[in-house]
Amino acid sequence: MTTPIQSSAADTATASPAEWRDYVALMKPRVMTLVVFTALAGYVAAPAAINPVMAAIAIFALALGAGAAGALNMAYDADIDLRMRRTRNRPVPQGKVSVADAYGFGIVASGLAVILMALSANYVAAGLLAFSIFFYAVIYTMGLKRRTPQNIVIGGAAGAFPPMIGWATATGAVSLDAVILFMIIFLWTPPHSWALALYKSGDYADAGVPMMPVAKGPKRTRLEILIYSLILVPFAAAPVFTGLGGAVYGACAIGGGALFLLLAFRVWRSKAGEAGSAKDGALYAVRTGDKQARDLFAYSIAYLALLFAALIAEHGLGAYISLGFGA
Amino acid sequence: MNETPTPVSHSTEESRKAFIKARAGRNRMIALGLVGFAVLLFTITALRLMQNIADRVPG
Repeated sequence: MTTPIQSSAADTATASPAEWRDYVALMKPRVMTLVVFTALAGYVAAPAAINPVMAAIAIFALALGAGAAGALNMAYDADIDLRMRRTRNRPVPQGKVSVADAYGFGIVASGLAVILMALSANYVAAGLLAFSIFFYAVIYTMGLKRRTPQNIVIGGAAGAFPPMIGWATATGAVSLDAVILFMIIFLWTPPHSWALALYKSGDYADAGVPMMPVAKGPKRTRLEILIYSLILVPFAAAPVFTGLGGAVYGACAIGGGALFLLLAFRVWRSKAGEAGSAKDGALYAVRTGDKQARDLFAYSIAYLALLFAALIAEHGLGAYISLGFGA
Repeated sequence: MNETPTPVSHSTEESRKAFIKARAGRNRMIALGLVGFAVLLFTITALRLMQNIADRVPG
């Protein structure tokens, strides 16, 4: 099952032995942070609660599951990670962790995470966690990523599960509000990922990953970013109408959404992606013409964090002011 | 998992020491992880027991 690229990664493997920090890096800690944050928002916003120690263990299980999915992703993508400047310093392409060890670590961590979730919360949350790991590692990483420019549209579902799992942890069920939180991240993923892909398209082209700018061109990508943003921003206000979001959330959804639309509009009007990819490896380093895409990418992270922080403030810190909607 | 480690060139004393140090660090973290997992299971069991006792209907 060893591919030529996996062999070449293994060839460099002995440069320095794997340390425990390499296994931490394998779990994509920055992604885990966002997963924990959105899951916490889902848990806090739910109209029920469990023992706080059990909830902490459940959130830890979710973080472990997200890290395990990240490890499986890095194991499978070792070949393309080696070709991309943004990812070539990861532990597997660097040869610090072997592909087999990354798979082993990912599978064992997945199992432990699902068991912990089932014991500390309930089987609904555990089932959702297991499915989200499967969706990310198998459906997205192995199935979609290298085959279709719609990879992150469908694959974005994997990243949208955490607030739903947080909700299920508290209530043992999935309700309309949980689905709305899922949909917000699902709709947010395409403009967020494509904004990055616009100014890093050379990386994806080198690796043979058919991201939208590579497969359909930057003009089509900029249009799709605008279309998804036009769907996302009004939808992000949906929690206000179910009563899940109060005045603070509403203000963040409207104000933050307006800025999101403005930046998406600027990307649409720009020539972002036309000049090819920035050669610098830094995440935020761009050519002058790609600045709008970089701005949208950076702001999209803040926007999502703002929405979920508003939910935490309203339901966890008592900042909820009803706007008269919902039950 | 790597039952048989990749043949690593430990030609120098420094590289051999670095390998042993890294392996010891990994082993410590695995041990810590296993102990942590056992502690979590114990905590979950204790909390569930307490909850079930509290919910028990008398008689």
